[in-house]
Amino acid sequence: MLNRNTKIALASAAAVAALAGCAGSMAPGPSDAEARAKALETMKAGFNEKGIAKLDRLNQDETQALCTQYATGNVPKDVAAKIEQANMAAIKPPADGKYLGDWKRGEQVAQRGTGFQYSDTKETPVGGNCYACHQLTKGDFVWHDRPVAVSIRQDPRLRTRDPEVRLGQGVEHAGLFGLLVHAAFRPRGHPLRAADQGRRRAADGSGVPGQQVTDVILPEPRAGGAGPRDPIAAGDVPEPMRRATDAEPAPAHAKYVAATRQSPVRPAIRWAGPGSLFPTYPSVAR
Amino acid sequence: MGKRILGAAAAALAAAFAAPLVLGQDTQKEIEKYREALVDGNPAELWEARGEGLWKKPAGPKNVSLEKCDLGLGPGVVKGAYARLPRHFADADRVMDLETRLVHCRMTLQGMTFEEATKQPFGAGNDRKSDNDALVAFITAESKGMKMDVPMAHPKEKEAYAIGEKMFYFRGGPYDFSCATCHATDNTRIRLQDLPNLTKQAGAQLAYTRWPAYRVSQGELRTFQWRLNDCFRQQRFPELKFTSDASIALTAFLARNANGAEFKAPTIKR
Repeated sequence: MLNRNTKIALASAAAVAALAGCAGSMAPGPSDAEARAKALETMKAGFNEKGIAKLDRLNQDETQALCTQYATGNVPKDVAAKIEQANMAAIKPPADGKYLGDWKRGEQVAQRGTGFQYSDTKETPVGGNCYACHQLTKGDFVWHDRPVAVSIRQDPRLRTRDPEVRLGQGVEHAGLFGLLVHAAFRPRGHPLRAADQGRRRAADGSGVPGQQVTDVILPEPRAGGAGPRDPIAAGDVPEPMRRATDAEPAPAHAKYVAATRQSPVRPAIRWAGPGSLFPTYPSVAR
Repeated sequence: MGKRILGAAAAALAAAFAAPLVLGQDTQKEIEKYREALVDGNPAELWEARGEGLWKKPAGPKNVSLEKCDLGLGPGVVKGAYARLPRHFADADRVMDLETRLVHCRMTLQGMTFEEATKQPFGAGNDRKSDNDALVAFITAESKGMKMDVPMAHPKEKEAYAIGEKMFYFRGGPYDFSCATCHATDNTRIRLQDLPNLTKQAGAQLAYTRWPAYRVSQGELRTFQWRLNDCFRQQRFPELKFTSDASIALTAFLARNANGAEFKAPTIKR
């Protein structure tokens, strides 16, 4: 059994230990400016020059220093303007005034991630490294995809800290919004509404949502072997647009659809640009 | 006519939004399948076995083993040590990560010089195997399944963390890169490589607890010092010195941010 004095001694020891623990965890870390100075000093001592990468790469220019200083907060407006002006002024336009060059060579630069590393040489071509942030070729997922494909125009949406970017994004959305509103007010059953969508329409069964009209079903060949009959000429369909886009197919039209589903005649009409979304149909296509 | 154009634009928009997304998800699934297939039979175990041998084998001018090496939990205690590193060591009055501490032990216990202890920090094929890689594999494997618990009580630990944080955001070099350039945004990747957002706890936990790793494409076990070294190469910086204070500070920043997560390494990566 413990006597009273031992208990007090133990309690005091515990208190001292607790205090010591507190003192340890309460010790202040360095201030922001101290940490910045100390980090620079630590980095200067922490790197070896190697190959083409010399130690002067740790010397920041003004832009780099400012971007480091405001990396975790908002950049004050005047500082942002200063950075922007200095860097816009540093852009050299092409001396011959020609802005459009060889896009294939441009793509090579955009796709290249080497250059300037200490594992490179002076002769290693310097890439633009563009692929690291931007999807360069649509659908080419091995090289240029991200979990959600991001085009160059969409990319700033990931980096929403910058109010300027948010503004630009808002403007973009406003344009898109107008388009969608317009689309939404098109009356139900209108030929332009969901032209190729829905069961048994052109895009049905393709497995790709939102696919363009690439396959238009033509009417059945006329009995007697005279070839497919032209529904326009025959007056089956009052206007060309109704052919592929009819929201409620007329009974006659439904018959064509059913027949051609089994017919070997499966003409393909390729969509070749906005002007050809609703093409006129050839009378014979194989 | 106006309606035609609108219809075309709407259809084009639908296609533009929907199609690449489908491809993206499929790709992601395929990558995950590949990663799952890799997990069985991780060659990192070969490094672990060699490391255990090296830990117990007498070596250096003094011809003693590393079994008396104090990794922070007392001399010779390996179990769980890595999940509590980097930390301040009173005997050296310096914050050290595992690899720095191993160099320290090989110098103080085994009598090697700094040059001898850091001769081959990273492996380069069968002819140039790295004892550091093997020892790290053995010691980190002994923390598998433990919770990350990196201390930040000592002023020098706080200082290292603060320096590491500043380094993370330091932009420099010919491409203006900082660590944050690639590691401060959610859901990005370069080609097929996911980029963890290390400014968030979840991202730091996911990334830090999965190093060291056996790199299939290189046939080597890669340690955290190697990871940072190669990041800076791609950042177009000069070469990060092995076991420099800079390397330890950045490790301390990332390790501390991973606190609370279960340590999973050595893992296997593409």
